[in-house]
Amino acid sequence: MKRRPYDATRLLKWYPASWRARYGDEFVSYVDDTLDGTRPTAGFVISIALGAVRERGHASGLLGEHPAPDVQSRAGSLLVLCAWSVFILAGATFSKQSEHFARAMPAGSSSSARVGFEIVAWCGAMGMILVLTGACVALPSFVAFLRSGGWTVARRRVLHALALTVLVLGAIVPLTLWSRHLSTVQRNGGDATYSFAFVAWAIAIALTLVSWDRVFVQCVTRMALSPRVLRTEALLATAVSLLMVVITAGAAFWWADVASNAPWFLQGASFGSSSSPLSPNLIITLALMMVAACAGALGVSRIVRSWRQA
Amino acid sequence: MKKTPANEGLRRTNDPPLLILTSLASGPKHGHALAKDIAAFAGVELGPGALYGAITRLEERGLIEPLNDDDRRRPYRITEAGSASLASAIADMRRLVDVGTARLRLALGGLS
Repeated sequence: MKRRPYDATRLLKWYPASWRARYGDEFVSYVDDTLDGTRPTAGFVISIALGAVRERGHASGLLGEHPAPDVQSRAGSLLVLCAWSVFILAGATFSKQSEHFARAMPAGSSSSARVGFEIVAWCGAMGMILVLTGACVALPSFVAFLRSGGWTVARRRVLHALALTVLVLGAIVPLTLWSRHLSTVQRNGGDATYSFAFVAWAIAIALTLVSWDRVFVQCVTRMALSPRVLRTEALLATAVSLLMVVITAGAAFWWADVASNAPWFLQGASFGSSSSPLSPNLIITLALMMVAACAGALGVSRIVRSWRQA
Repeated sequence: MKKTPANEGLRRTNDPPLLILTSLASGPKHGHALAKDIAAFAGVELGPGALYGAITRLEERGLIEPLNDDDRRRPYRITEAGSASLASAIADMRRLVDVGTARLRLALGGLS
């Protein structure tokens, strides 16, 4: 049986629309010529994927030498916002893992863990306030964008994000009622069905955050923002990015103190038992925080660059 | 463990923009012809992402330009600015070659 030729247009979808409009036809033709009826190797596909990521970076103003300062500033602020949504997820898992930690600490141990926890909590709250302030500052421009036909552009993604939000919020009630019938051990991994449902819910939250990020990116890149609003957003984004670094440090501080004084707490083991301080959940949480803090720093570097060019 | 040859990484440049400009210096070419020519004269296999990323940046900087062609395989040619940029890069490399050759001769002379 003759094999169907490989459809190169599938690979093209990874590139931004503006790039596809300019280079799409010749790129597909180049891929067809190169493959000559054979299947692409993994290296070939990875090269295209990396190229597409790079072009998306250029199209958004996050990469390259030439974008206008306002494009760079907007892209930097949006990257910090997306990094913050990753931080929300990491913060929620940190909050779950550190629940009631004070009870597990031996009497007379240092209060460093409490200080670390307070830093995470207070800086998290400050970060939320700054992000909401940024949303309020951009609100008039957003309304103007919707009135001038923006709703048609954003509708599909907004409805998708709303549907996921309803699903996530709707799942809270049955999950809470279910958890009330379970013991602490069952709630923390002892009941496989509950754990599976909880993980599915956490994945749904992550997808919801990604959906809203896509909505924000789609709208903000098309909105008309005055230089004053852009400057305010850039300043708020810089502050949020700094807070992400402080929160990461606070969480690491908390971990270090609990690991040295009450490692059993990190494994959910009984008081005083010998346990490893390396909790996989906490490692993933800290890794997420660090990735988000690095992404935020990249966004701020773009903002600072735009200020230098302006 | 696979042994790395002593001169690995020192033998030739594999900067995609430089390779593309060098290839176009001998006449206009489309993407596939560019990749084949570069593989032939430099021994470098440019992946599709690297090749078209470099083409995009070079066109943005006005160093190459597309030729009007009805065919989907759009050929590119080097511009005057591209030729000047390539000449400057080659002059830099020539200086490095001259200094490296002279110092190597001196070092080998000193050893013998």
